[in-house]
Amino acid sequence: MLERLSMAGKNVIITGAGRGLGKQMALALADAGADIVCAARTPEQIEETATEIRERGRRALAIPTDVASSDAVDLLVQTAIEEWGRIDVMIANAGGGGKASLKDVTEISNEDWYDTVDINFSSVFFCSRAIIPHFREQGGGVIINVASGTGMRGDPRLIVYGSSKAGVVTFTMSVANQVARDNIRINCIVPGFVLQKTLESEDEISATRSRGRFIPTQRVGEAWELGPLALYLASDASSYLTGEAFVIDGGGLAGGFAPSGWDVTAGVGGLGS
Amino acid sequence: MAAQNPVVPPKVADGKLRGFDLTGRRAIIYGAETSVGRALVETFREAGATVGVTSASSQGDALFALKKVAAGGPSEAVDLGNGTNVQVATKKLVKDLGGLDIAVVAPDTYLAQPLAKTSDADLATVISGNLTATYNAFRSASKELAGKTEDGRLLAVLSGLALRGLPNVSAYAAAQAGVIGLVRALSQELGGRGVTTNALVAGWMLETPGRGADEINDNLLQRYIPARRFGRPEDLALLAVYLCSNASGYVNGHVVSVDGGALKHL
Repeated sequence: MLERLSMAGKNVIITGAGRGLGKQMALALADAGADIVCAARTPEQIEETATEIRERGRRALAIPTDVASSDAVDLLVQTAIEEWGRIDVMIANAGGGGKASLKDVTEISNEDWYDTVDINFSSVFFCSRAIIPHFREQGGGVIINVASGTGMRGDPRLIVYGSSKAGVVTFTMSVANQVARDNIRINCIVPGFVLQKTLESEDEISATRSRGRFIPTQRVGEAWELGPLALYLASDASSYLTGEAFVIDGGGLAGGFAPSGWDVTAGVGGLGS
Repeated sequence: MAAQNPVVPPKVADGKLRGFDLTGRRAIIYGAETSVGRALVETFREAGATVGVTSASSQGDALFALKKVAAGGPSEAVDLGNGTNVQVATKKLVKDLGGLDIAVVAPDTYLAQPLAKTSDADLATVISGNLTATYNAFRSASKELAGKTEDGRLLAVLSGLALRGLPNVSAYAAAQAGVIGLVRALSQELGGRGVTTNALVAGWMLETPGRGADEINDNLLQRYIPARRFGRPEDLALLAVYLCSNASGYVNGHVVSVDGGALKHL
């Protein structure tokens, strides 16, 4: 059964592969035998990821791409296919908080709105639209989108980002229904708070531990933890899974009815008398 | 106690992949005498785990199936609805296994009956075989996990009826849905001790009784599934391995459905 996890001979595009979750997903898939096309805006970072992939004995390409531009995404897919002949997996991971964060809803400008929607939501649509014809032609493929826990509940600080990520979840479910008969699977990962970089100073570690106390696992997630999940979703191990929003958040979304650490044994809870 | 940040990525055994290596981990699969149970036992062993099993019921047929699925490993015949029984069996298995890291329960006491015709005894049987069974197993297992392992895992394997309604399955749907409430509550209660609790929901399976004709054109249910095929036990197995590995510690309280897309329809 474990052989179903093998990615040997499979080519994967990952956007936002220069750092954080995207980089860790790229490395985990390379460890399982995949060759990786790394895309992101910053060339230096994707070159670095590509180098680490080659050190693992796999092939890697670094293609600078702004995923908010549909032309750039089309070119990314076209270039990758020209170089390697086929692509088996597309991971639409790139995204970001954007300029709309922390603003009152009345102060969010059109530009703030469209910037945030384009990088987080339109980008996911561009990736699917560009790759699906290729998947149909070759008889199948896998898409993984990266959403966010902020797309499942309200957060006053992240109105546009959260709405965009909610869009990613519904887009994933809807497209899954449309393309399943073409042997294409599409799922999304819904991360909660996940550290994007290595903790270096004692202050960073202490601040991270404080944040972790608000999460049921009493710690925050780390970027490497996305690797095995991405591998599961990208490989044949998940061949019957489609349209899923896979939450990895330490249990945050399974709770959320009372403050963290709230003690109901003191007699609070239920509907009351 | 649970790991704090930074968390060191676990090393993996030769030829294994992170997230899919159960080497050195000890598991009990409760209610293992089904086709899903068998696939889980085999795949957990392939991934390197030591596995003990219990039956769901202590009746004759179940015992025969249990020995077969145990394949020489430790096994205990129990009635999962009986808390004392489950507690004793768990302790025996933990002794055989040398400890416990993982408990998986696949409760499936099914009943298709209209509400008005469901007797008190019917309801009690179905609640007991699904909800009480899982509660008993998780309670007994958690005493062995909590504080004794950094990566304790509780996993319930459920039916799509835990999430959706259908006519004439009220008792079963309620009992299965109850397990989801249990999973969410335990994810909050045990998460801080390094024990995660999750549920894996199966869609329509090839083994589902009454799933209809084999030919898809004659099978409305099959055509309802976006993947246009029924699920097989092996479709669940590697996800269960991942959810029980020492690399899935940040997946907690999640209900994931392996359903060919059936639960994502409007």
